[in-house]
Amino acid sequence: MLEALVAGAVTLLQPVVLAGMFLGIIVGLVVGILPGVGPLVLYSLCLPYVYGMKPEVALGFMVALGSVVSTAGPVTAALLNVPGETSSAAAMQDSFPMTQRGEAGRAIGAAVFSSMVGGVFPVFIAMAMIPVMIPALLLFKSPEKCVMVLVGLSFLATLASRSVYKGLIAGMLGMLLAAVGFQDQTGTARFTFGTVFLHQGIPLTALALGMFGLTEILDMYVEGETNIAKSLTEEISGVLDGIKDVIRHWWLCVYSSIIGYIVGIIPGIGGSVASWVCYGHAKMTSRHPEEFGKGAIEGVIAPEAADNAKESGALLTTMAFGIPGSSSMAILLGAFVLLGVTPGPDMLTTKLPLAFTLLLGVAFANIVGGAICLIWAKQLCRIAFVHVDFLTPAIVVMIFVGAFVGTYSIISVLTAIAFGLLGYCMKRLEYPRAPLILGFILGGMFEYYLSISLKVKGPLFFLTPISLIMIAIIIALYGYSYLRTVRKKV
Amino acid sequence: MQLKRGLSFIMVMTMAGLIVVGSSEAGAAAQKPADFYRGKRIDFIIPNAPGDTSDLIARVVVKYLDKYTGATSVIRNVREAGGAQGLNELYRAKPDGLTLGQTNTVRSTLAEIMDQPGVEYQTAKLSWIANITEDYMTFSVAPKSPFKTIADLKAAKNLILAASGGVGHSTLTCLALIEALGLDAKVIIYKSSGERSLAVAQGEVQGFFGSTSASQQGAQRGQSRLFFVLAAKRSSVIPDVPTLRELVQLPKDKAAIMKLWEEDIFVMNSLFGPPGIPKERLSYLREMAAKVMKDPEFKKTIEKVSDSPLSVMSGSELEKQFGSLLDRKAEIKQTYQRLQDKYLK
Repeated sequence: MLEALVAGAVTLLQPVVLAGMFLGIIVGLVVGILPGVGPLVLYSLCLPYVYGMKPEVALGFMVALGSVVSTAGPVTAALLNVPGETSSAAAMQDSFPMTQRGEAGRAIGAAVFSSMVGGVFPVFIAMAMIPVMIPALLLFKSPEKCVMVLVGLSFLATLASRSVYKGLIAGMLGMLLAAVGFQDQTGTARFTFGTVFLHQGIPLTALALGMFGLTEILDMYVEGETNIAKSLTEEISGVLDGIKDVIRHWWLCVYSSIIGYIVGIIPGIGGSVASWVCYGHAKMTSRHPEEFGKGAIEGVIAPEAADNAKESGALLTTMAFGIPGSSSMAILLGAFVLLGVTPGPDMLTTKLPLAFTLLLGVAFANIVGGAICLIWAKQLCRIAFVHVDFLTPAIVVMIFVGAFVGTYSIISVLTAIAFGLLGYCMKRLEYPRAPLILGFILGGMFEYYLSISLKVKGPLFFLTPISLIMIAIIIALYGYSYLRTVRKKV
Repeated sequence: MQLKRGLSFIMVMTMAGLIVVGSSEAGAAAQKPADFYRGKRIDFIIPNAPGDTSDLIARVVVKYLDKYTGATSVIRNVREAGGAQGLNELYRAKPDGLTLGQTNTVRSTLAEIMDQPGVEYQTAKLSWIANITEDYMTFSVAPKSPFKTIADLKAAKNLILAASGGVGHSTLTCLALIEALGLDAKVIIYKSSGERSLAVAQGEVQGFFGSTSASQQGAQRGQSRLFFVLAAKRSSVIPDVPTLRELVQLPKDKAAIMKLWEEDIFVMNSLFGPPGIPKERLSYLREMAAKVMKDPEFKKTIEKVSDSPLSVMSGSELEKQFGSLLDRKAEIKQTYQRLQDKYLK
């Protein structure tokens, strides 16, 4: 294995492979800042161009591109409250409020640096896990995935800042919206009103962009605000402060990365679960949970680390099993096939050097991409001081393009507008929006895995060792949180 | 007076415009197909996700089709509503031969037969150009499965079969098998073939139907074990694997259910255009597609993306195939609606 690691590193350092990676990094950073344009769209656009390239160069380019998108996305989320990827929406709950009180540099510094750590650290876990990858993945069946999603749903109440009941109502509304579409298990169309558009369900990108991006724009105009940032409380040292915050909360960053990595290796769960679970967990275990939603630094660090950590996990599953760990990995899998590289157990044996090249490439791309974002953070922060009359048209265009790109349908744009209005009403009535997003993401997933688990194992499907451990952890967490609350009151 | 002049001017300009447009259309129609396609842009719709096997096959076909026609194809993946949106768009496109598409046509035909919501196209009316690959469905079981014979399957209690991609090819084939063999079984529909394969490797389900090429790959990776092929004769891809007919003699009514999947419906990746493409252009496209299929470079490249054998079916044979299938739409739909209601709801 050591020889394969050295061979993989040597391949990575070839000038042509490095050049491919640098190109992927630049493209990924530039496009990753655009909301709604995530690795899925980027991979689709690049797929035709990699055909005919050497596998190390082509795959290195695509892996680098996908890796840095999660690094660049938090910048838009922090500055404009528009998630670059839907999984950035969790950290946005706190990074945007930080920008509003003039700490944009600190928010970006913390988001990007924790994203870098989340992108680099799990690579080494992935490499160490190679010998046990396949047996480990076989342990996570539908019942375990169902319980994992349920753990995510249990954080719905945690995400509500003032009223738990309002949080739960928002979460339930999200779960109801997730029911729209074609139900695979029974072949029934639900709430589609006979339209083809709703057949696939409400597009998450349009919902998130509308509910967070457009809502804030509406709010700014109604409140008569002139800039996103209400005051300047920092010089550029804010970026360094953000980096120091991550180092100070190193343990939060590390275990969020581990959670993100584990979620990444399990196909079908998705990165948003990791972000929100880590956000909820960070809030529960924080000494100042009341700060969350208003600019708590832990609320930025935990989800960003988790979000980027999933990439190396998903990549390992894709290479080892030939089963894509996420929808963007499905396209990367296509690239593997197109380039004549067959994913599967061979990638962990005879083609192990290539696997190491790609994993090391993820780490390399995250370090370089993150460094570029941090160097440019000072210039990017100035966006927060641009007058809204100039800024909002650009933001609205970005939101509409981001919503459109997901489905290439104008109805997605109308969907974003509709959810923008809904989000504004929710904000006015003090209903939190984060639980709605979490309920929406996890509601459909929970129904899917629950129906499979009930068919496979019956009502006692949760009585498996891994499921019981997860349930025990979540009970312990809530118990600890409750005791702490009681002690505070006393 | 001035108003009269103005109106006259407008009329003359309108007539001139109509003449120009009409003559260019007439000119295009009169052009030889080879000259027509040279330098033109083709809007190529793939109703699948990028990276999907059907998508990869289509991208290879497009490259070589452009080489022989001199046109430039611009690919769009329009996969909403299970690909129905892409097919609807292609069906409604102008039938000038400059909008083409390619996909797993059995999936789209089954969606039409079962009247799935969102389907507006009519498969039998499409302009069929060529079939690219054809494959059969193969039944596989978990690697350490105790099932070695059909009798083992029949004797099993609470068997769980896996399918993917909604209520489509793999699902309906599972339902047909359960009904034909009288299995004590249920079907779980996974979101993707990848998740389905993982479920089999994990032992969560006991068996599944997949294309022969994909099933063979799964078996080579140790994720599953090949059981039988659903075809009238053995597959050239896996010649050691018997057909269902070799393993069991079914009663006439049950054999009729399986016959549909063995002889009439199999995995096909086909190239087509909207209804009404002019005959000369359709013939030309068929001729060019035939050249593509014989190109040794094309064959070498296609092998990298798909193990499914290249097809020998021409466009006109595809027309007959889908025509006769859709003639039996009511009968097929009734049978499978009954099975869906019995086993899925």
